[in-house]
Amino acid sequence: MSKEAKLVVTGVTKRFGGLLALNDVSFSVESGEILALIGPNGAGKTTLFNCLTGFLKVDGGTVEFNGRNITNWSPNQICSLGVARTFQVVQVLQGMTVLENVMVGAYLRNPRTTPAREKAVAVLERVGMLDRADVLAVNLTLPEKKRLEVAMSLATEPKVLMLDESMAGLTPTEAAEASQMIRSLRDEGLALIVVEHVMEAIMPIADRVIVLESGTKIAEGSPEEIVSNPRVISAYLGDKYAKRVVN
Amino acid sequence: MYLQLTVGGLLLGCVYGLVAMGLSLIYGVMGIVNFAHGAFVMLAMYASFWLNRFLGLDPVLSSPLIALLMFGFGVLMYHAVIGKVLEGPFLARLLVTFGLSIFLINSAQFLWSPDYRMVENPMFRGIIMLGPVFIERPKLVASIGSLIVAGLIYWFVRKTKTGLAIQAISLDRMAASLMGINIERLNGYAFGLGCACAGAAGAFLAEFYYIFPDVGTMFGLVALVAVALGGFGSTEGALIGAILIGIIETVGGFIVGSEFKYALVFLAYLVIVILRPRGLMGWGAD
Amino acid sequence: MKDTNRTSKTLLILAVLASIILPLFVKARFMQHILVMVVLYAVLGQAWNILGGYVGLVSIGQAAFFGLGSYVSSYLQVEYGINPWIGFALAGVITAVFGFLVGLPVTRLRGRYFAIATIALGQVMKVLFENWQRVGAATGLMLPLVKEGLGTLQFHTSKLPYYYIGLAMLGIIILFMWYMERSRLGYYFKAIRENEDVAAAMGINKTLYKLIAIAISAGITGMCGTFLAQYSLYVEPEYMFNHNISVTIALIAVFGGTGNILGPILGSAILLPISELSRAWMGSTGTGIDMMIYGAFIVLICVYQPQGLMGVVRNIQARARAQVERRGAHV
Repeated sequence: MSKEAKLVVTGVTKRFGGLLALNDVSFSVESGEILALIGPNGAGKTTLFNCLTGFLKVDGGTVEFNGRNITNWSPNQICSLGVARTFQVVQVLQGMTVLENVMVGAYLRNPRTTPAREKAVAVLERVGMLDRADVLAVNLTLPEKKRLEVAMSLATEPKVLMLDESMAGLTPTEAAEASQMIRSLRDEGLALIVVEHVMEAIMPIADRVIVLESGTKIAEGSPEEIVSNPRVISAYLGDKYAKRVVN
Repeated sequence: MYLQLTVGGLLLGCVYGLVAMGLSLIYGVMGIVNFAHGAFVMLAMYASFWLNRFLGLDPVLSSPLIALLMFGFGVLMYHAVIGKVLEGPFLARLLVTFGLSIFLINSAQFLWSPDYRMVENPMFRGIIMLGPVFIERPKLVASIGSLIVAGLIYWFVRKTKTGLAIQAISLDRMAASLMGINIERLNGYAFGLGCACAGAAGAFLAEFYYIFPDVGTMFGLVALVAVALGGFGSTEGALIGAILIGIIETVGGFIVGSEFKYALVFLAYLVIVILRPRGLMGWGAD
Repeated sequence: MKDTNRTSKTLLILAVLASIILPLFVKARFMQHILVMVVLYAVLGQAWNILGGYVGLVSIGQAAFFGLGSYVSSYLQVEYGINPWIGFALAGVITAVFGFLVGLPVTRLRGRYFAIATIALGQVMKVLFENWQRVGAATGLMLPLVKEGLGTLQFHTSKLPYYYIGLAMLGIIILFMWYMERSRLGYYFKAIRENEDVAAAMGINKTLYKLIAIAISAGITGMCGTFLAQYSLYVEPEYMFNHNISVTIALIAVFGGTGNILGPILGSAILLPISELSRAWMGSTGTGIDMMIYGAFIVLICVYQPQGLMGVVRNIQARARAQVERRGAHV
């Protein structure tokens, strides 16, 4: 469904007052690729997401989508262009049913109700939530809400999908299902940027990994390269441990 | 001339400030925008009037008594009405004090007729000259009195045990309740204190202002604008906002015509809030 | 499921027929007056509902639009002799544009900051019209008394024609809202109410949709202003820009229940008779006791019925459904 797409991030910088939350971060992601974005708490992963999707204004650097400069566009414009996201703290439309939630997303490409509903039903079937279609979102369990969020994003027919910790808090079985889903989305030609705190969940499916620490990109490479990178190990486990591993 | 006007605005602003402080306190602690605050001022003005009529007590002297009465009235109102809607939906919380205001204003009209009244022989009259500026004595007394009461409330909230407990509620309800703070009782006190502010201000105003059932409405609205200007939840902001409004009202009213002075105040609110959506010093979300 | 659908359809048809036929038997002018007020405020409540109930922008300043609309048609009529129907349409357009323009800055505000901004707007408009000599300042405008008829939008012998015109307005707005609820517009409105960040992440231009909502709401409210001007044949700031109009409109929606079509109709049908009757029975002495009752009533609603009447209906429905399910489980 999606053509070739490419998101290029160059030198993105973000300050909160005196705090440098993102420092000159650059990377790119293409169709058919899973890019994992990892890093310890407070490394700036969510801030980066917010900057890429227009929820925060960047202080420097550019974001380009298929050669078009979309830096500091508004969130809805960026979504319309085909870059969708989920939120770290799950965000759904609590007072509306699951189907209505997904329809809100589907309306973006289908202004009329009947096609929008058909699209929403198709997406719900895809994520295995069709049996929950008439439940109010507020009554869902947390894993269900996370899945709903993905469904809503998918309904906007994105070319780039950014998932913010959509596996946190899931049981191993659920996480495996989620991994399977992410992989199949990639195989359909989506570009995925996946923020994950839990390395075990993301490493097996990632094509490429970038590591943020204190707002700075400290490593980029294949999962194998990353797990043996001393800087990454020290960022995650502290210097002492890193030395021991390398030695 | 402008110095004269600015001083006048400053004096007015201090009284507004006391009213606004009460509003801000109530909002900060329980998230209620008290649209009945003006009606509380009105009640206090009538109370001063009747105390003066029957006991010959001057409003300025009776202000502590009025504040105390209004404190009791506020505690009562909290337990009878306000406390019952705190968990309710946004609209109910917003409109309940509207209802209260309409009820109180019309009760006053029913009991005491819509006639304008004035305190006879107030203790403070006339003007004093301060360099090139002349100042009306009752307004000076009212503003100084307002500042004193505002200071007392500020001290109470910041320094006493009860005050600190009230502050704890405004910071984190849940945690406060886990710490064994009796939220219901303290909310009642906070609402009472807010009313006491309106009460003291009403007493000071009664010294020189006409008294009629609808008199408080504009005070309430102006105080509300002051609180929003300062930023909901910021007591100091409310005071600063109120003084700003006092000056806008008198100086601006002089420039564009006094019939437009309140329009000007509301326009100022619109402009400032649009530029700074959370007020000048606010931290409160919507 | 099918059964409940059929019963609600029957109920709907009965209600429509009753609202058309029953008033024909109402001969007392005062009772006719109450009917007119009920439909007028039902329309106003719906207009508020679009903004407050669906998009979640609570306005307590609808009188600004109401008053403006009443002055547009009245001024055109008094000054240029323009037919009130044209004034009616222009009032809708002009107040909608006004709402849009005001909305540009004001819809950026959230929650109570927005609510207070609308109060401020109402007050500013009132003061401006009180001092605008061209439109009669505080004394306002008297509409010329002309021959009654649908063409002149004046009726003297009976108030019922006003009722039917109001009913037609209500019918049109209900149809519009029925359509809205099933269209992208309604879904987007609700999405913005539920969560602005999610709405933006779903590609919704929330600024644009808020402006659409305020323009529609203002336009309808402005047309209602024209309606009341034609009904009372005069306009003055204290009357048309009265803050109580704004409060009553919001209250109707709260009492009936927000975010659905039936709520404002129920709210208006119950609240307006209470307010008008208490005024008629006790207000004539000028004591304010009617407003006392009204104020107490608002407090009681907020304390004891904060979910609105529709909330009660829904609770009963839910309880009934639970009972049916329980019975089903036993079998």
